[in-house]
Amino acid sequence: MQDSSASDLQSGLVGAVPNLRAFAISLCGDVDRADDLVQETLVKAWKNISSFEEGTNLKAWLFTILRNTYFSETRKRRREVSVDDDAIHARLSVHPEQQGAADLSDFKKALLELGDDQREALILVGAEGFSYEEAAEIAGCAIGTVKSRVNRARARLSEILDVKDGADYGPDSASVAAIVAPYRN
Amino acid sequence: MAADYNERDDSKAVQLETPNLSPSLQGHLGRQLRAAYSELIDEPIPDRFSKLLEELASTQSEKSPKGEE
Repeated sequence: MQDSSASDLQSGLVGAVPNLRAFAISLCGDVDRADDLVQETLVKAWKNISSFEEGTNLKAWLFTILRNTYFSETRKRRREVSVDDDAIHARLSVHPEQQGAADLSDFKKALLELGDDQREALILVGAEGFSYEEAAEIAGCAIGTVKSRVNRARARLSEILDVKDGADYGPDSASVAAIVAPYRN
Repeated sequence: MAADYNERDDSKAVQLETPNLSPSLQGHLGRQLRAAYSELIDEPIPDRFSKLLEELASTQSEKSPKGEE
């Protein structure tokens, strides 16, 4: 009975990997750990295919699995050892192959200075384009909480980056249009 | 989806506590966010994931012959 939906699910999973990876790297700031998270997510998704309601948003379902895995592991780690967040974050911010767009490196560092909850909300809504409702379901919180986190994340970013209204936002807009285009699909 | 969470008050409070940034500043931050994020999305995908998915597919759908490859 699962035959066709299983192969649908498989291609859906394949298609979601780049986004799952980007989300995982953004959350934990560590590419290796992110890849482990994506792997766990895919295995869990496959095992729990029966709990996925066909016709609902597969990507949102996968993101929920990934973030729940991440947050429960993070809580466990905090209890076991005190993780040196700065060291983890430093690894991402000096990620060598990412230095192409120099004007983005400050932004990436600033993003990692946000608390996990705020960064998650901002990425779900601002980068992935989930609605506030979807983001609230994924993060397991109320819609108002998502809005609040996104607002505070933006305010905090503008503080860290020291950008103000009416400021010269720099030469990013032209290159950004080219970068963003392929992401929109 | 249509669930109306009891958090209306919370979002009102947010607007008081956090002044909304102007649309142009929000737009600026949003563009940087999407640019940074799309760099991650465009990174090459490690082989381990396609291998993993093939393994998962073969363990679970043995009775359904795969028409792929």
